[in-house]
Amino acid sequence: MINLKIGIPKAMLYYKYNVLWKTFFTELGCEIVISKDTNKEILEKGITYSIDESCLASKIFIGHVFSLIGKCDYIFIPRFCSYKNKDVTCVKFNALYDICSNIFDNIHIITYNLDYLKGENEISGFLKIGRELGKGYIKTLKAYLKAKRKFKQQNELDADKQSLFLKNNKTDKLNVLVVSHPYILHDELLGKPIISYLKKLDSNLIYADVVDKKHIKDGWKKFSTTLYWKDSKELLNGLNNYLDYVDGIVFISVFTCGPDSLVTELCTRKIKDKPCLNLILDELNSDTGIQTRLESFTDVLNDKKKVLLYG
Amino acid sequence: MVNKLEILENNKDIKKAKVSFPHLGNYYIPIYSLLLRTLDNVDILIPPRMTKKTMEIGEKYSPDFVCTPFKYNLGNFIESLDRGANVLIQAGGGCRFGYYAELQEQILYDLGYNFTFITLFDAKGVDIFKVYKKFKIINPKLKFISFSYNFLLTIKMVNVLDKLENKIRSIISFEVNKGEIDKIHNNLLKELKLIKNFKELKKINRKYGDILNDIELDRSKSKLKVGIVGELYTAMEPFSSFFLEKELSKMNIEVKRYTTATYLLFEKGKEEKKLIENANKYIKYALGADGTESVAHSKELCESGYDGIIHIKPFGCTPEINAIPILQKISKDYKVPIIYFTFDMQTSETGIKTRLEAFYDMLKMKKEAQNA
Repeated sequence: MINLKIGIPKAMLYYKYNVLWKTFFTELGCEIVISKDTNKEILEKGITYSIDESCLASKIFIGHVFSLIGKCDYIFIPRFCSYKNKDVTCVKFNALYDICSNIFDNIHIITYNLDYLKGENEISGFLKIGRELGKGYIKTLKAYLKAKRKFKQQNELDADKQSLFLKNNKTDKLNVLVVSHPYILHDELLGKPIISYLKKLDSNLIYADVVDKKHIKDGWKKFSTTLYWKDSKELLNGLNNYLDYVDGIVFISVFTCGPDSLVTELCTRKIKDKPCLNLILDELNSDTGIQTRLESFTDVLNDKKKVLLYG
Repeated sequence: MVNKLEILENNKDIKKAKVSFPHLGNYYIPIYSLLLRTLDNVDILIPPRMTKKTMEIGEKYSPDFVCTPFKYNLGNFIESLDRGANVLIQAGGGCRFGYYAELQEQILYDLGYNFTFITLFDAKGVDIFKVYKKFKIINPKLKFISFSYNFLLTIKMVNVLDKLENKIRSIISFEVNKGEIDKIHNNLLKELKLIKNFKELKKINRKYGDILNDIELDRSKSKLKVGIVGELYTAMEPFSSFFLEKELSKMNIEVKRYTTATYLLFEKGKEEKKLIENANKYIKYALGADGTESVAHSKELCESGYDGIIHIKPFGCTPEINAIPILQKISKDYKVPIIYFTFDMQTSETGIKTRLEAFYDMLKMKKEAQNA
């Protein structure tokens, strides 16, 4: 029997759930095709197929989906809507499935729907996938449980690594906290150049999205009372958790990101004692512009640190 | 938040409180009347009419790419505060709207204003008891029975207003004596503002229903029918769409619009499942906020013989951007033209008008070709 090929676009929530998804499909005996790192071509295709005003991250997502068409049997585009404690996602995630199925004609999508408010949870979603792919109930359940376990382990591992680093960090370098959605931060075109340039400027980077999600849950309350976006909450948890260890904060968001337009503004207004830099990326970015801003930001941080150390 | 409210509660000079709220179309009338009937111990300030100035002030203090209604609301608040308001009421709801309140409060505090901010609903929906509690902060003597009576009266008032305005929308392009309906509309708003009980409301409803039924119409004048779909604020606040509906009526186009407060508050929730089912050829899931409605209603409009559809949204409205690719497909499948308008601070009114005229010409030519 030939293995089914499942294509996973390397964009959006891939960066959060990749361990879960990859393990699940591998356990089911499927072959996984992951789209390439974002490149100029993917971005261009994404822009061609998207509405102008869509957020840059979603344009990149569309580009990734396009690059997978014809290379696999199914493209995996899950739908995210609401989580357990009535948290919701940005409405962009509600519609990615329907957008892709409408703009591309010959596309086979496999999906699961995460909408706790309407009684659609993760397990039932994955079991439905198993049924659709013709795999047995027990096999699917086992695969899901294993994937979930691995996903949690990975999350804890990452978080531990970062906390350990912070504890043992005795260098004189700047500590810069980067607050950004994982799909922006770890994207080859969006976040990676910024990360590598900050490292080049001789600073330690701490990531707000890497945080122990099981134990740190209420940090966001320090900044906001009415927040209901799950992803933003997690970022603010990280922000609160690492705030005391860092010299400055860099917020990175993409143009027309809905939640960020409000949440970042609120954070920068509430954080009074640490310098904040708010970078907004769009498709017309110049690297030089960003680099200049990063340089002057680190200069400010360095000066501030010197004053603190030597008076 | 709690501290601020306590201050207000303990404040002996509560009579000096001046309550204000943001604009949304003509709904300031039911809101004003509700506040008037339930908060008899305070002054109520209807924010000044929206102008270009409101937009500019709002934009100046808002984050760059937040959706446009945020900026309008903030502009309203600042103009009200400058006129002495010290209690601000914001509604709250789904998508980004539920989060407006917190940031707007922060921005206004940072600007140095002194006020109390009250959010009526949270993301979980309308709960009359919670709203009552919020009102009680301003008027401690308020009884629940009297509040719920007035609340229901206001809801009924919104229903009546929506019903009559829907009627006006459907006939205004046929009126023989230009300006007649506008005059009636203005009188209606004036009378509605002073209503005190259900009986008076019923009387007004019947009176204006009759008046509107008796208006001289010339049905031969217009042959084009257009539906408006899209985001709720732009649909309901004429200023934010450069009075699009008025322009259409000048062109003698009959307009159908689904989005009204009545629809959003009472029908939308019930209808969602049905809408997705109707449009299941295009969508499998809800698109968030009003996106699903835009798609399902567009399909409905196409099927019921409308000549064109106008899709409106403020800049950066994610749910409507979600809907656009699907609308494009519907437009292609049914061969019904759809025009997309995005409104923000930089949108030029002339640009919109030119595009609208071109759209009108196209619809007209298409219709003539079909008839020939």
